[in-house]
Order: sequence, then C-alpha cells, then structure tokens
Amino acid sequence: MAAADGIARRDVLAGAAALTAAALVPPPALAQGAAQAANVAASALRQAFGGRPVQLGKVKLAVPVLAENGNSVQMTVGIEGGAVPKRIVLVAPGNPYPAAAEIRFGPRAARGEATLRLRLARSQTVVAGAELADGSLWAATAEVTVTSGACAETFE
Amino acid sequence: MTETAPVTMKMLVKMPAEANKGEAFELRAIAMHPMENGLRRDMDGKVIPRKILNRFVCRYNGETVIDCDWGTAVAANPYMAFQVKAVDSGTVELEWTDDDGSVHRHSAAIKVV
Repeated sequence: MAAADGIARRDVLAGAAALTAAALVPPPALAQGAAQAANVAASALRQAFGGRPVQLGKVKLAVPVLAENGNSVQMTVGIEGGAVPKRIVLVAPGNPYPAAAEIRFGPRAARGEATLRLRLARSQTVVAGAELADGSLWAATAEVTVTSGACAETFE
Repeated sequence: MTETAPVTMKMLVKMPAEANKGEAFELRAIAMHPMENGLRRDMDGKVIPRKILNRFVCRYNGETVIDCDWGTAVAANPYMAFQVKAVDSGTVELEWTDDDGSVHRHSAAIKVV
C-alpha cells in the first residue's frame, strides 16, 4: 500500500515536474528526494570537482525557503561540527552563470563557515560542495523559491 | 551610459577590536560595488559590460583566513561573514580585486589578549 502510493506519487511528480509550482508540492519521499538531490549536486559540481564522485552530507547549507527578491539571497554554508575544509564551492544551476563562488580556507580560518549573498535568477536548487582536509568531497542542496528573480527582464 | 569605476570603493567592515587568544571572532564585510553581471542592457539596448569584484581575500598577519573567487551570481554590494582564529595581535587585511584590475584594500588592527 505504502509502496504503491510511493510509485504513484513518483510518476505524478515526474510527469508534472515541469509544470508544477514547486511551492505547492509537498516534500517528496525521502529516498527519491535524496537521489534527486545527489544528481543535482553531481552535475552542478562536475566542473569544480573535475567529475570526482561527491557524497551528500557533512555540508550545511542554510538558505531561506522563500526569497521574495532574487537580487540578494543570504545563505550560510558550512561544515558540520565546524571543521575547516580546503574549500567550499557554491553553485546556482538555475543562473545564466552557475558558478557562484569558491571559498578557500586558510590556516587562520576558525570555522569552515561563511555567509554571503547571491543573486538567483529563478527558483532553483542551490548546491554547496566541499573538499575536506582529507580530500573527500561532500555536498548539500537547498531548494529556494524566488518570487521575483534577479534581472527578470533579461532571463525570462 | 555605463557607470564608471570609482577609484576608491566604499566598504563597511565589522570586527571586534579585541579578541581572546585561541578563540574565534566574526568578521563581516560589505563592499559597495554594483557587481555588473554583463547580462543587463542599458536604456539604449546596449549590453552593460561585466564588471564585478572577482576575488576577495582576508589575511591575518600575512596568513590567509579565506580566499574567495566570486562569480556574477554574487549579489551587488557583496557581503561576506566568516570566523577568524585569534592568534596574535596584529593586522587583519581585506582585499577585493575588480575585473578592471584595480585592487581595493582595508585593514584593521586586532588586539589579542
């Protein structure tokens, strides 16, 4: 019963994904959501990490669920437990130029954490990837609904 | 008409004047810059050329705290907040590099007790 429901919902979601307003859809089933997030993260981080495999986890990405204005969306990205990574990469796949920022941490950084403000052209899944001190790659994603995108007149 | 680069850039930096040794302190910095992404058009329909701050570095007594590459997705008047490890009294230096090659600097003294 539960499985059947899951499949039905997956089909509906897949079919209607392009048309459905993201804000109206309840959070998808956990497994599916994670798989989707992993795909989004992998493709967004391909350039920055040279196609090396990236796992979901260890990275924290705090973004408002709803942003009224895409011109400036504040977000905090960090590593769980405050560990200092080699670098953190932020990607906004829905932007005309997705590579948003790369933060490399030096010996005087106290925590692997930073807050900054990005322009988001439209509602999208923002991806943060981190290369930890041991060289392992981790990522987190966060969905943001943007009511009025940055420079709406340019990117309809 | 496109805006020309100001020779000096305004910036707003907040950090404590004093910190305890071995502890972290927060540094918050805003640079006043339009971060023109090269996609907008002016009133005559001409593309406004890209002009952003593409790099931001913070050093503490010469050692790197963070070193960032910024893309066009960074919002106008870019803001950055991060944690610095208080090690020794000295100087915290911030450096923004513009697409046009100009470098804007700010430095502040920190006393570590």
